Amino acid sequence: MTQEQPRAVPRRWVVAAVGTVALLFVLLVGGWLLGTHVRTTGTNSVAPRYPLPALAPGHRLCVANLDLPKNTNALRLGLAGGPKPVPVELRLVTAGQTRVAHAEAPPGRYDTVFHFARFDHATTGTACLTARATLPSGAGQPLGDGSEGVALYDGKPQGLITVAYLHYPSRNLLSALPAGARHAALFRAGFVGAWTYWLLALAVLGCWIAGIRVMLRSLA
Amino acid sequence: MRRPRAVTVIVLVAFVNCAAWALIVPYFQAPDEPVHVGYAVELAETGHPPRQDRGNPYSSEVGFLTGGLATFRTLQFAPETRPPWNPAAQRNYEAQVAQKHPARKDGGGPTSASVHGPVYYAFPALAYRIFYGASFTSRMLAMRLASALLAALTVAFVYGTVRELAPRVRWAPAAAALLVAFQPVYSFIGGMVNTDVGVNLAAAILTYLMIRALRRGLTVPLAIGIAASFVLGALAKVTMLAYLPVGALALAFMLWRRNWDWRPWAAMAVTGGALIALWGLVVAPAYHHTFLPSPGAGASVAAPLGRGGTLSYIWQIFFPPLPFMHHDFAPGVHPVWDVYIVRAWGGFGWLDVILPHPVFVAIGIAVVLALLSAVRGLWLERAAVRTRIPEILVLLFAAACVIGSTHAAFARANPGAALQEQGRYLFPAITVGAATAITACYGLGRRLAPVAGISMVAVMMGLCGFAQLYVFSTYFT
Repeated sequence: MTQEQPRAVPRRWVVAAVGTVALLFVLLVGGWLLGTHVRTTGTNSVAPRYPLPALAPGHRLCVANLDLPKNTNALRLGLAGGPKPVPVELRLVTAGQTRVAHAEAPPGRYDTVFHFARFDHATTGTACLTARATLPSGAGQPLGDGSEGVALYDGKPQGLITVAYLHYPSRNLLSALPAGARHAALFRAGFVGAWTYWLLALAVLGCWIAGIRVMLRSLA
Repeated sequence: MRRPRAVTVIVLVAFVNCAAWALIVPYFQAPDEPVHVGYAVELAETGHPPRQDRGNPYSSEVGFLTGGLATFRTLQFAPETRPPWNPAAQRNYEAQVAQKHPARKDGGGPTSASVHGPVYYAFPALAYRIFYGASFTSRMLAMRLASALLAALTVAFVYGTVRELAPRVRWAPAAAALLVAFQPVYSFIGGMVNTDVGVNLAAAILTYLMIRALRRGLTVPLAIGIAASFVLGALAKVTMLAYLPVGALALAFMLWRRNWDWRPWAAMAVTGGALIALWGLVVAPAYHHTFLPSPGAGASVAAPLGRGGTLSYIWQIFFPPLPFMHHDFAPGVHPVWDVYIVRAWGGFGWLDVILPHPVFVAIGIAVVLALLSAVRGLWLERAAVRTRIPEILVLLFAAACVIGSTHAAFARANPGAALQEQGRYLFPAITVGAATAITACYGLGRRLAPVAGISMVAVMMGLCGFAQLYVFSTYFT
């Protein structure tokens, strides 16, 4: 806020300051990209917001119209066990194939994971559950206007249960970015493709360089 | 070839950065974007704003995309849910559109956005019309880019204001403008369809014109601009009325500085009066709109508290309640942290993507240090401050009015109610924030000030880049 110009700032101070920030950025963001692991390939779009009724032994809970993304080899359902883990069996039917997986619903956590052979391509399926003991509760949302992910309890609709599609082993975030670019290009303007996001990364980098150059010029 | 002017480069940079947000964030995954898009589409298709006597708030075409995306419910809970992002879903959507040709003109019903005037929406509507023959997904991008253009123009006026304040310090306006261009939430909202973008621009223009008039004297063009930017801003969103007392203070200072030529004052009165009359007598009756758009969400959630209750509420936003005050927030709720740090710096989408906590701790520390340094800067540069007291008071008063009116609009006495104030509601005062940051640089002394300025800009760029990568990875990986 001054009218007077002080002595010129040594250029090496400015370069050192910007260089330090850039180095910190590379280290912190690089560490985050390499140190963060992802295994979700998608979900059935139902947030675990409300408790759902229990599943009793001898009954069946089915979730139809599941959109399984490519490379999915596990499902996580929002089911919790009681005081003890509850063994659960899942039968996943897709295009004439049936895969059976077993898991234990952990006490207190809506986190029951079923592992099965990987799907080489995206497909749709129906998952049906049976439990050997009473499953106290599930997580999801009450029936809404949509029909996807409706849980059928002995054939009767009861709510939307939370389903996550997973891929094991998990990947770090950096290696997940190319798939992210393909996902991001969906439901966009016609010309947008995965390449747009790589170009965008370069454009943002270019903006940083242009901005810093403007600052340096103003200091000259 | 001549080098482009600094402000030109900065505006271009700001536009590209906002455009990056426009391409990163899934459609309709921004605050209230469906209702703002519904308004702009109605304006583009029929030439008039939404009406109370219409049924559907959105056209079938807009509804088709929200349905095709199947993400609207999903992504509001992005940390927990994620669509499969299946190319087959997009093909299915495109096939449905090709087969059913969803209507474009059957929207226009009332929404939370229909209370606003059409001033901002005219810009995305124009972009929509320019690409009228393209797919709706393309027109949607065009509308977002129109917003990005307005957000970039706002940055130009921030540049202008700081240049008026420090005309011989070339790095200061560049740093201030770049700080705004890369403020993560500002640039995020700048790339979305949201009437806040219009108010931010109007407020930045008005601030620039007021400061210029205070520095150089009131002229007829400045007077016309001051009246027009205020009235049009208020007709974009009523939150612009926060600048009414600010304008009054600025005009009082102009009179005090002997701006006594009657012509600018007459021009200001005629411009303001003509725009209000045009709206009230011609535009509003033609489009079934009230004289001034009524407030949005604030009015619907806030029960009248009275002046004392409202002041108590605003106090408790920043400080613990005093013994005689009703406790307006539940224990453990820290509204100043939530609004001024989390939501103003790192809340994206429908506040479903929040940056990691350590980032906010760093931002909180930086903000406090910057404020302290700004106070020191004012003291160290007191000779320059003395010659700019009216300008500085106007800027500080603008920040106080924006902050006060934002919290007053949402004041409520129910400690269990959710905090409604959003960080973006503070952006009409973003010029003040940028000027404060520059003053903070002077807190380190004149020699180090430019180094602090360029360092701040570099950190802001890094923060914005990280935010973009974080949002991208949350939605798509």
